[in-house]
Amino acid sequence: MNFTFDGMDLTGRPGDTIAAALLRAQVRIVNRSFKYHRPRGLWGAWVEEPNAILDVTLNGVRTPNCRATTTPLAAGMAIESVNTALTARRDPLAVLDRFARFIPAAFYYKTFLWPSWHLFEPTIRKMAGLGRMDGTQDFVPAAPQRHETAELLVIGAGPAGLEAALAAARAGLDVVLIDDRDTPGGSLIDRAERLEGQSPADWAAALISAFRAAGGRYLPATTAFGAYDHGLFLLAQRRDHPAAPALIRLRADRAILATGAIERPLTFVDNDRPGILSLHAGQAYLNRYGVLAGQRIAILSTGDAQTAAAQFRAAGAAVEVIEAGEGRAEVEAVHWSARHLRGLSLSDGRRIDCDTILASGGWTPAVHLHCQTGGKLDWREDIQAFVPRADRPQILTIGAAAGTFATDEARSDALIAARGDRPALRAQDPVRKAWPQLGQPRRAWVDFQNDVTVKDVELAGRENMRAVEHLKRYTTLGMANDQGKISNMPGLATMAAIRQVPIPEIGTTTFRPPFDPVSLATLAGPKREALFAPPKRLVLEPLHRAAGALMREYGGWLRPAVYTDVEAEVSAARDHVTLFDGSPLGKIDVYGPDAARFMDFIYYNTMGNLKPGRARYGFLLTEGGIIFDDGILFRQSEHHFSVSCSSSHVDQVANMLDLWRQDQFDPDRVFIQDATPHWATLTLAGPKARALMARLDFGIPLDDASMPHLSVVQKDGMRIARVSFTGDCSYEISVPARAAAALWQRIVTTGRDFGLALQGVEALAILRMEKGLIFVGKDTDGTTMPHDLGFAAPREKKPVEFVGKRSLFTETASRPDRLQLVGLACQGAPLPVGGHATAPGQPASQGYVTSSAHSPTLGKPIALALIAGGLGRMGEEVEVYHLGQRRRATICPGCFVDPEWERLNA
Amino acid sequence: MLDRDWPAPADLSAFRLELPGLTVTTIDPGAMTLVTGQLDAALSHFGLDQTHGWPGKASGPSYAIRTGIDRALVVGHDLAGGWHGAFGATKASDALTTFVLQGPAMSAALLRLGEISLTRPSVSATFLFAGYRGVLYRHEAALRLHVSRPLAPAFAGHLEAVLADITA
Repeated sequence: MNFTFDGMDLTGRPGDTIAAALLRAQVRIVNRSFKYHRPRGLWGAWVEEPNAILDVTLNGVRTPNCRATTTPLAAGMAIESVNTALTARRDPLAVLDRFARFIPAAFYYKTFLWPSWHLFEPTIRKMAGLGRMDGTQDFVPAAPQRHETAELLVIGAGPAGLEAALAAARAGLDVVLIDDRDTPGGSLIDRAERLEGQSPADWAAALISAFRAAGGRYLPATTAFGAYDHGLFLLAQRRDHPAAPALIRLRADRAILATGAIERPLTFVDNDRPGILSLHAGQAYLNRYGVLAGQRIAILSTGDAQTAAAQFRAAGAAVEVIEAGEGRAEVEAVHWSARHLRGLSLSDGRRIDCDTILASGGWTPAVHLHCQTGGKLDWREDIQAFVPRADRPQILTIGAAAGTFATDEARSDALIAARGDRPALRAQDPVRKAWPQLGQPRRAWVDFQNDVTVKDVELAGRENMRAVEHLKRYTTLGMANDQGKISNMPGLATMAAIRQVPIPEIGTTTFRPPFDPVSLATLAGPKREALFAPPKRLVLEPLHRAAGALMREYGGWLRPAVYTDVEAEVSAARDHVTLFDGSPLGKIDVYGPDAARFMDFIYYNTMGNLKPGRARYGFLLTEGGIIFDDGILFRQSEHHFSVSCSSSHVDQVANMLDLWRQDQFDPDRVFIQDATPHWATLTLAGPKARALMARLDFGIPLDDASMPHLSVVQKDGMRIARVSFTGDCSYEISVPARAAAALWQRIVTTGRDFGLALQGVEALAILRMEKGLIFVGKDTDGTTMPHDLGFAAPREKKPVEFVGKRSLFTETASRPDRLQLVGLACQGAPLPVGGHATAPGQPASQGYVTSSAHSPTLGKPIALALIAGGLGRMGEEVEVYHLGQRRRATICPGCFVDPEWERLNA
Repeated sequence: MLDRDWPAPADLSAFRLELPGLTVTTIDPGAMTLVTGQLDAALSHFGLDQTHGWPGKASGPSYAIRTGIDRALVVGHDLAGGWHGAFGATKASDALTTFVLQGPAMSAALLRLGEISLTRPSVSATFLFAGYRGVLYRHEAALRLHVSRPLAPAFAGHLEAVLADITA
């Protein structure tokens, strides 16, 4: 399989990962380190790999930041190293390493302050980060998502997981077994450990067959990257590159974690040189892929490495095994020249010539998933590691993940766990400690990926960043892909040495999902592009489009913004009559014997005394007294109200009503139902609206006495309300959605004699602004109370309790300098929305412009603003500051047109 | 997003999705009414004897689906909106779009729609499907799924996306 790496033509074999193929091709330098741009090689063979993060292009699709050890090689891949100015082998930025003493941990917190961070920011951002996005590329195809359930989820198809899954399936449980490798066997395959006279692959395959025969479901190439409450696990199932992995949300009654352990590095001077791998990785490359990591291998190990050494020798390598750890000779130097590892020197005077060092500092159980569910850890002195505490009733951890490393013991424990019992702790032979030494003459790395050295941890200690979470933030130790997999324990041990306390007193950082990086496409699934936050659609949208409407989103609805010309539509509404699609207006039914009392409690205004067939404007407040929404409340009958809330707030208002209904009222005497989607609402507004209504002849009296402003009638399945959001006489005609098109056409045809024009949302925004009518959330903010808008009577007089009442009387609510809604008059162009009002010549903000436009009715600009103490400052001049410019404006009443409201009945 | 030009919505009355082992269409199931209050009284009013939850199996042209602790969707019966002494009735014939899923891959479709399993019953048939609230139940040999009409065009696209890789 041909591929390229940094422009070099190379060949791999089917079944190789990119890492295996690079090692096979004797590529030792695969990347550059994050900060110092030091050459880096492979350390691991699977998810623990910190260095080989590469950009991969296949079939024209560039995928940044692929981990070489987990990405299968495909023919034709163009692979590039990241974080280098040229290639992995040749990187001019390697000169930064010579200045390492000037750029230790957290240097950027202390430098680049003068003259301004923003001066340095572009260059630093360009240098930071890893892979490069291809901005010209389309989205990668959506990743599929699905849900699964299981009585038992077993994570890890190594010997322990396989045994547990098979036993549970045979006991009749619905079991799902997942493993992040393509084939089962886990560490057995890496170590080529035979079981029951069979090769590990044959043994594992036989167990999988038996497991499936017992009804179990086996998901290979699937990584559990997140564990959550109530048995929810998020799984990423690998697909052919470059397709993003599929997402599986699996809910399990209980889980068994057989996630294994990760080999720890040894922390010695220059331990980051290419050619220094973990011992386990060396075995995995040999036994999985048939790749020998080097020809002259030095094994540095705190444990028994003779079996591994024999395997390397059998493959043709010269091997020297060196005992490492407490009481043994230390590595004093790693010999490196001409971009090759040449050997190492030990403190006892020995010099070992080698091209590869395989290091093992013990094992760290993979406890991430246990901890993500809130599980705690216990320190085990015998294995010098944290293991899961038995505090998760529905989650059992077995095998190496629990600190039980012997295969036969892990298999025995698996059978116990399969029954739902927790295996007892098994004492292990004490391991030799091999923690980082303080005061080393040169740098020794504790975190390869983030370029964190022992010296950096020592610096953190000197700067009093001694708590483990502070240490992490100060040094970036364990961040990014690593998530503490290989860096956590050396970092903790170093800090423990600095503080001269046992390691468990340092504790660990918090483990959070994801365990392994997940593509955003996997998480997004189908919710992207047009399916990401799609707007609600009007039943009349085809007619709006046919009429030439520009469709835009408003509060979650796709609505006609404008048909022809905004100002012409405004003028038509003032001079003749307009037709507006008001279907999104809320229509929430409130029923029941206590409905009237409920409405009194919900609204700021008194509503319980409304007569059937009448309507009233009011506010809904939060408990803090802040305006949550406003609108008209209709009383349809004695025990039936309709809440006409803002178009964009229907769901929230419906939820709020139900909350208070359940919290404060007898839920058997008040009932809530959102009726909005059933109806289409066509609004006629303007001085000729009544005449047009008469011509349409709905069979209802239209005179002011029979149908005054703020009234509603039901007729032939329609609800006809006389309300106004423009200040002119207006009617809202609500019909079932399927009847809307016919009614719309009828109104358009009949309306021609009255100069009818279609009106979009933009015109409505001006019409209501001319009247000083608000959009909640635009002309109000998170502090606005009704009395800030001039609606103070209920606050002072309403005797019964209502939502938010108490908060209206706090000291803050009573301050005279509260932001209050006023109008702003000015000359020239409309004021900028968001512009801050100040006293003339002063810098301090006294409020800001909330709405602004040119008024076609008045022929001049108008604006609404929230101004400190504004209601008492009529006629006062302010300046409006925006983007360096100042404009003069005069505070005035918010109602600019027809302040006597005579047009309502015109 | 404000300036996005959204394409015109598809005509859902002609919606048809043919997949291996699964056909998705829309139907007009007749009159629909949302009732809330004393459900026994409402059922009695409509001459129905029970509400169906999940995975309840409704049949025939008229039935009631439980959608909440004191809410139900009555299909096949019309009633004037308002308070009826013991329950409130809200017309919903035009509020909901009804999708029908049919074929041997229905179970596989469920796994892609949400955390829904035939073995995990629920008194209520109301579910969230990736943020879309819907009512799902078995009706004879098919699945019926009601979603709010204004979001139905988007939900149809959602169905096409999440069911794309389905196999019989």
